[in-house]
Amino acid sequence: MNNRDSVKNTFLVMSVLCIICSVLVSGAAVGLKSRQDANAALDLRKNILSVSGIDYVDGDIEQLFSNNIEARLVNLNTGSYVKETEYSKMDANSFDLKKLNKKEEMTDLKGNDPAGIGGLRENYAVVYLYPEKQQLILPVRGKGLWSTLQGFISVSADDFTTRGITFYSHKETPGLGGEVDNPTWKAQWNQSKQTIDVDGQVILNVTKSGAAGPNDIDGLAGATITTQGVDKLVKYWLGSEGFGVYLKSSDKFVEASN
Amino acid sequence: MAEPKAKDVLLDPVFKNNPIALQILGICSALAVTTKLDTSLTMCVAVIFVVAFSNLAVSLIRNYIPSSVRIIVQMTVIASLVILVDQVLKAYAFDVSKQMSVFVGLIITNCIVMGRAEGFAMKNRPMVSFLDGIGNGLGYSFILLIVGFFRELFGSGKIFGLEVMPASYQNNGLMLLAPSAFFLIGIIIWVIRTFRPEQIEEA
Repeated sequence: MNNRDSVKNTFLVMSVLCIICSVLVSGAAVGLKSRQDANAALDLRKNILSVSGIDYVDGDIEQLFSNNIEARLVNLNTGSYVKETEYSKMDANSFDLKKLNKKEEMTDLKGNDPAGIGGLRENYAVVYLYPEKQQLILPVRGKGLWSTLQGFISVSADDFTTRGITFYSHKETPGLGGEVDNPTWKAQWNQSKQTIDVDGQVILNVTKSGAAGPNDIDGLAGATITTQGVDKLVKYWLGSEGFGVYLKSSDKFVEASN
Repeated sequence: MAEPKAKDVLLDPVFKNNPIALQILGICSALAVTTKLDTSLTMCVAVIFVVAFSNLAVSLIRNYIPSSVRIIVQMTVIASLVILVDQVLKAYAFDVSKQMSVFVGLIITNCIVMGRAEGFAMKNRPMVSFLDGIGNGLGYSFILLIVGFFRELFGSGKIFGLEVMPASYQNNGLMLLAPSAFFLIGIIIWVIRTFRPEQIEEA
């Protein structure tokens, strides 16, 4: 009994326990990673389909996706599609934000980071096209209350009105900020609200006090910070610092000519 | 202390000593994941697994655990099991795990799990502790499934995602909000205590 509570035994028991538990946990994490990644990739496609307004059922997601959606790699600084001769490290299918070189392939925002994306903005981004409805699906992200919200916003390529929004990853409070997943709230974004004016200024607002103007989206009750976060990230990514240059470019739907 | 009988430790927590209805533990997750039956069911399976195996593991090593760090030992075991469950759900039930968001991780702080590890598994042999874990998991599940059933039925007019109410049925939005789970748990406690008056506390 005395031995059990000795300092030596305490350290021994804790060490053995920690090693066993960490082997168990890391074993599970490594062993299941490929399945989890496949699920995450499928979930991303589901989100892209739903933000495009395409109805899907489980099973035909890959088919619907490849039939309707095209992925393209965009240079955010020039606003044009990336040609293989210009940049060959990644293409739209293998693009991975985490693998970008921070110095060469990202732009230092020098403190001007309203959306809260960590001070660096990538020079390249994958956009998705839905040619049938002339829709652009743009990846957006920004800080909410607890987490970075990652999602897509869908806009019409003709008049830059909204077609939908979705967030595939966030850790906002369930029931409050987590209501960004609420279909009723998301439905506001399907109603063709004007996002930018002729000068490229973002005129869409996510407001706290109800949707008063024609370009307003009613925010989330009880989730001021998340609402502000969504407002800022939408303004940032649709603005000139984000996809603004790309949005103003022409011929978005011509076949890529490598 | 007499060795508890296997049948008693397994079935007592369902009606006689229900962790939610009598001990009023684990209410937080009972509110959060019961808007639909499939999330409720997943939560039940996850909690049964965690509480059963944490009881088993804690009981197996109970004679080696230094009393000064016993809570930390229990937390380590419980947290590891919960992470395991979370990883498995992400791999095999991605949609459900996404809907349940933080609440899978919050099983770690579910008082039932910790309560059984400290209150039962530290004093009893592994097999009976394991059964006690399953029993308490079942008691928790029993309440969760009832609450989930009524919330999905009246809140969305569905059972396991299938439309069961007539088309004219107007969904009761209140049932999808957390307070409705309080009402339902209150009603369940009332019903149980009507049939088992010995559970009524002295005023």
